[in-house]
Amino acid sequence: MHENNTDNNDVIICRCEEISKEEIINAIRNGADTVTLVKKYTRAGMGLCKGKTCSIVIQRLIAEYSSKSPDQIPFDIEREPFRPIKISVMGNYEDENALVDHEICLKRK
Amino acid sequence: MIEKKADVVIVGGGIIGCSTAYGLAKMGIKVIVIERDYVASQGSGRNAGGVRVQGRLPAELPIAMEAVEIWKTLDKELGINSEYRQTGNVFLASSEKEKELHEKMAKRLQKQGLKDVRVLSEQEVRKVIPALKQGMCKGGSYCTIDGMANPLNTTFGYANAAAALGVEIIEHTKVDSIDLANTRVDGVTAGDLKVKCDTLMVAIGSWSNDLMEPLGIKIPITPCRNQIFVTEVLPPIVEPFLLTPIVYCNQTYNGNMFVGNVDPDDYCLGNSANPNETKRTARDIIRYIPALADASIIRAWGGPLDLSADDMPILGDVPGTEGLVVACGFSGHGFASAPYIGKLLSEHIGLGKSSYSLDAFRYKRFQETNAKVDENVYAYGQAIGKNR
Amino acid sequence: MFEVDLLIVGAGPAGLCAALEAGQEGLSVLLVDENAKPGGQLFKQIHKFFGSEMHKAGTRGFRIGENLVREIAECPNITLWLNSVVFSAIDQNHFEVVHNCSVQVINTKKVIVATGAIEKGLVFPGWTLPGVMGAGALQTMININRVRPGNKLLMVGSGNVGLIVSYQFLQAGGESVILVEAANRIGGYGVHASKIRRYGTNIITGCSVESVSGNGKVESAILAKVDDKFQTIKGTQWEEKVDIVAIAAGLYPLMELLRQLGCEFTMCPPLGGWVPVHDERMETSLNGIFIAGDVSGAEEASTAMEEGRLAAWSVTYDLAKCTKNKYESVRIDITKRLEALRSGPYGIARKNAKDSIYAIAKNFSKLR
Ligand SMILES: Cc1cc2nc3c(=O)[nH]c(=O)nc-3n(C[C@H](O)[C@H](O)[C@H](O)COP(=O)(O)OP(=O)(O)OC[C@H]3O[C@@H](n4cnc5c(N)ncnc54)[C@H](O)[C@@H]3O)c2cc1C
Ligand SMILES: Cc1cc2nc3c(=O)[nH]c(=O)nc-3n(C[C@H](O)[C@H](O)[C@H](O)COP(=O)(O)OP(=O)(O)OC[C@H]3O[C@@H](n4cnc5c(N)ncnc54)[C@H](O)[C@@H]3O)c2cc1C
Repeated sequence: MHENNTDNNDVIICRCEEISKEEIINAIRNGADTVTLVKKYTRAGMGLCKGKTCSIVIQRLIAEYSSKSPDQIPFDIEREPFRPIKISVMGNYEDENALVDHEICLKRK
Repeated sequence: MIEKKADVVIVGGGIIGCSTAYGLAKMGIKVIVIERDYVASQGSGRNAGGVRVQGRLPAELPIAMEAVEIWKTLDKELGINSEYRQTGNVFLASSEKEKELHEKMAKRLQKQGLKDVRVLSEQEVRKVIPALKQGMCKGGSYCTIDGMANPLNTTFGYANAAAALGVEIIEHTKVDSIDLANTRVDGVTAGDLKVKCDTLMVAIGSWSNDLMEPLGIKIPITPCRNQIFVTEVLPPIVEPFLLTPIVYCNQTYNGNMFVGNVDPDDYCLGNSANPNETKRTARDIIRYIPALADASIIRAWGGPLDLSADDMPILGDVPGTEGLVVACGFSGHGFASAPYIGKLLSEHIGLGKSSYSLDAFRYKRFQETNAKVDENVYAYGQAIGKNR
Repeated sequence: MFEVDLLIVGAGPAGLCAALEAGQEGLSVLLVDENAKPGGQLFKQIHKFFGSEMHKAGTRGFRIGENLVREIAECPNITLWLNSVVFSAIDQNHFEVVHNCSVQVINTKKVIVATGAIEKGLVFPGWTLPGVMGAGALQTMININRVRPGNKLLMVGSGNVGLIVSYQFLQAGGESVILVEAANRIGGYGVHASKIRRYGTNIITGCSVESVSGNGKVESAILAKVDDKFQTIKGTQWEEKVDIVAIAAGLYPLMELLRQLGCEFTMCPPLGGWVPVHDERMETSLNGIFIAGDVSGAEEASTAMEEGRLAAWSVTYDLAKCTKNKYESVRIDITKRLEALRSGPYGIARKNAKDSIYAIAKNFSKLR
């Protein structure tokens, strides 16, 4: 919807990693013109919520501070797990219920 | 068709390509780096950041040690925060027999000048890593000058420093072929871009043979996928880089824990993880570090390893094609030594000689001796896995 | 490994309707939802539904959900896993789920992704203060947990969500609501707007929140007039004492699974921004991966239910569990009902948006 345009550059955009608007704008000015690169430059979106809140705002900022239009700014690549999964849960499985053929794993790109 | 010209073209915007470009730019040489995706998009942005000296093969040890000296002042040099810290590196021995191998290895390393390595008892290991469950090892080898750094910050740091010195980095551009003029390198073609150069360095890791094979050169490397999962930010749990015979973990500067498997056997390339391995590593790591049970995994990914036939990189000229230099085969430990390797390669290209001889890493060794893993020193290498 | 004909991710209205339809046609169905109760957004909806008779208008949202859940329980072909989250697509046929605190892989022939939509955030100084929340979160607190976290509400956004949650806040005993909308007209239905006006609520269009402040929690907000580019008009700021701020800035599809699988997306602002490209049969750019409901573009429960049915029938037909004639006649019926739901001054924009997405899908449908 609306990005209000008062400067307020110290406002936090990524709550999980505590990344400010200013840090994100700097990254964009240094060439980070995708959500993926903003993440890799600043850590915004690297936290527990995986950018569920801040991705949209970062897309808006990229549109505002780079030459890209919104339809050129997709989301970051999604890597599993989509939701935080405890290590003890990830490690709790029975081979026959949870492991797939090695061939299937090799095909994943 | 767009045409450009440079003294040196480097294909591959990983840490090897970027650190070499930086070294060359410091000598005032005009360099163009061409990267298929973006800087650090592959191994250099996906690795665990381990900076390990212990366990290195004899020819590589001096490089790894000198790299540590560079790491110590790298932040100042590049104006970055690489998050480099000397946390130490602990490699567990799961049996008395493994412990003996560690002892043999430590003796060799000490003899070669690495004073900071010693073999610990289980009790001593658990002093260094109190979170380690009792009864999981018979001791381990501990090297105090080892540590870790942030791969993204470091690789971006080299790229930015190179760019500031005038290196042109062309991203999202895949080099399709190497152009020759008779037996000499003339340049490269990348889509409708042609770049002429005097020297061409190919630093594209696992993809090296894509460009070399058409020239009739086959580099003995096997591409392999390795993977990591990362947790949410945690309080300090494990200080050193911890290698066990099956899994490893290291806690980043921010507090996220990286967990990976030691001996990958996915002979494929891909940036997503093998879901079977993610589960196995999760199960394995909490056997060693039970305190990680409740930590949440937030992301898993894969990255390329370029395993060479003798576990050592291939660096330097390619006989028969003048002006062609390769740098690949890092066999899972190219990040740690990159600050020095980039320097050596830039010396080799820019000055025609390097401060440490690259001879042991020459491509020709495979034709001469059918080089393969040296069983004597590798005994430990085998246990330590193919990476780090 | 759990093997089924059809995996449905998300048991909101879209997923519930899809499961019921496919289950009744004889497909083995696994329906998975991360919540303790099925129904998705429906269970928060204590108000009577808008829409037509056929779409249970006048019935309260959670009742619609309860009825569906009862029917599903009676269908032997449907397995329902609650408190279970699908966290990865290994490939188009293998999906990882946490079920009973352990990991299971589902091996399925087809998938319907019905994961709904999530709220868009809005960022302004003070947005991280306790007391600032999404309108959906406020609705959950009031309708499900029966707690009202404050007395004086500032609602940002006048779509149906903003209007309905404001109304529910007042019904729950809230003292006052100020509702601001950056556009120059109210986004949601007139009936909902007049309901809250009757409570004395001030709906201010062409206005937005500039900042929120308070000592450890929300105490006041600075509001300002904005121009047609949503930029603050200097000098129009004023302060309001509020103790809770809810953001209803719209929803966007929750597409994690589809992004991981590598579906194609297109930018479609009327449906929430990036949406998965899909055809009239609800199939995405990937063979066998279907979508339904808000994940295909944020709309309403009524359209979600119809899309769920449609997707289920497409899967049923693709698995050769019904005749072409049967499928075509059902498809035409559902399509007609969807068109009826997407008519009128509010619906037409969504219909046009959907049509433009189907048009893009035509290109890849031929390739398959
Ligand atoms: C999971 C994992 C963990 C690891 N952990 C460690 C560790 O702890 N410590 C350590 O020292 N090492 C580690 N490594 C190894 C380390 O990542 C590599 O050795 C190092 O990054 C190699 O750098 P590079 O520049 O040679 O290759 P890369 O970073 O892979 O760069 C090669 C680049 O070439 C580009 N490219 C490919 N083909 C073309 C083309 N035709 N045209 C243009 N560009 C092209 C690619 O896009 C890529 O960016 C790990 C690796 C993995 C996968
Ligand atoms: C305040 C408000 C009032 C509304 N009023 C009306 C109204 O009057 N009339 C009307 O027609 N519509 C109304 N709606 C809209 C309606 O609620 C939604 O359009 C509808 O619920 C969408 O249905 P869905 O099945 O697509 O998604 P949802 O209802 O959002 O359900 C999706 C489900 O999938 C689950 N899920 C997501 N990802 C995963 C995963 N990876 N693993 C497991 N589970 C997962 C979610 O937890 C959720 O339970 C209202 C919405 C709101 C917020």
